[in-house]
Parts: sequence; C-alpha cells; structure tokens
Amino acid sequence: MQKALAPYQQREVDLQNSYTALLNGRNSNLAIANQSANALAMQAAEDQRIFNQRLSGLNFAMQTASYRSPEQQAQL
Amino acid sequence: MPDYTLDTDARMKEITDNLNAYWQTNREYFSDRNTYNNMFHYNERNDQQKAVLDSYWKKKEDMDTAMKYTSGDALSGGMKNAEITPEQLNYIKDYSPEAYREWQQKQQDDINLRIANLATPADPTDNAELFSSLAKKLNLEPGDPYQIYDNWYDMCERLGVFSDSQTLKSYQNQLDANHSKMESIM
Repeated sequence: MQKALAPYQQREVDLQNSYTALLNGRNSNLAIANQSANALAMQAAEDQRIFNQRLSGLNFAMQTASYRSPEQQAQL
Repeated sequence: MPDYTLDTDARMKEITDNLNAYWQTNREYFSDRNTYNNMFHYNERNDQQKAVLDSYWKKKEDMDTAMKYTSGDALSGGMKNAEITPEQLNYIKDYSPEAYREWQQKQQDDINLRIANLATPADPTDNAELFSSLAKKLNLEPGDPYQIYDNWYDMCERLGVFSDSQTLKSYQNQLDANHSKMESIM
C-alpha cells in the first residue's frame, strides 16, 4: 500500500510547494496593487481638501463681491 | 479825520476792529457792497486799506453764504454744484457743526456705495460671469475623477493576480483529487 501511495504523496508535496510559491507571489503582487490604490486614494483625499479650501475662498469672494450697502438694500 | 493812507499794522488792525464794531451795532452798513463802500469811504482809501475792506467784505459774504447751509442735505447739494468755497466750508464747520457732520456722513455713505457698486454686478448674468471668473482663478474647474478601483483592477491584471488565483484554484482541485486517490488506496 505504501508503495502505491508514494507517487501520490510525492505529487502532494509538489503541488503544495507550487501552491505555496504561487500564493506568496500572488500576495506580494496584490500588496503592490493595494499600495498603489491607497496612494491614489490619499492623493484624491488631499486634492479634495485643497478643492474644499478653494471653494471656501470662492464663497468668501462671492460674499464680499455681493456686499450691498444699506442704501442698496433699501433700493431692492 | 481818519487817515485813509496809513498802512501800518496798527492802522490795519484799527480798521478791522472798527468794522467788527460796526458789524455788531450797524448791520445795515453791510447790506450791500455800495452801501458798504460809501459808509466806509472805500474809494478814498489807499490800496492797502482797500484790501482790508475787500477781505472783510469777502469774509462777510462767505459767512452769509455759509449761513444758508443749515442741513447736511443742503450742504451736500451745495458741494455737488460746486457753490461752496473752502473758506465757506470752514465757516459752516464752525457755525453749523451739525450740518457739517451730516454732510460728512453722507460723503462716507457715498464712498461706501461707490465701493459696493464697483464690486457688485448689476444683474444675474454678471453674477454668473463673476462666479466663473473666480472659480477659474481658484482652479475650481472639474478635474479628472480618480478611478481608484479601475486602477487597482488594471494593476492586478497586469501583475497576474487574477490568473494566479485561477491557477491556485486549479492546484487546490488537483490536491483534492490527489487526496481522494490516496484515501481510496488506504
């Protein structure tokens, strides 16, 4: 029986080695892709922050530009 | 007989003092220029004394004019029509301080209104243009969206992550089949 099992045991070892080697490589590549996505997400968040800041600036500028004196308010 | 030719400081002061005294007691002497000239012998005096009388008459005219402006609106109108000289304005400041203050406030309001008019667009189209222009200056135009998932997916494909997953699944199936074989032998 042991003799009959031997090729299958060897095949199991080979398959396990191949599986582990490929799994490690795949996980490493996945980590690279995830890291790249994280960097992109951080850049997007930073750009959004800058955009919001500029939007506040625009809001302030529009409010200043739309200032109406009491006389103008009375004329409306 | 008064001296109409003397031009010393003392004589000039004496003339001014006399005029002030007459201003208090005989206002009718100042009713018009002819009366004034006659009453104070204008034509008989030398040029220096005439100048004193001229100056006094001008001061009287300025004061008369200043007395007409008793409100901020009147003063504002006078200034707008360039009817008031700086000297007259000084008299107004002294004799009608309230009117002077009102006029100053109106001036300030006018300046504020002009500033507001410069900065405020006249109609909604102008407002929209102003908004666009400011948005452009602040670099708020739409940018390219971040395709974070798409980028991640492309990268996984390029690095073979998905095909590796398929291969791993296949290895798993082969291992399962191998186990079955081994179990059947045992």
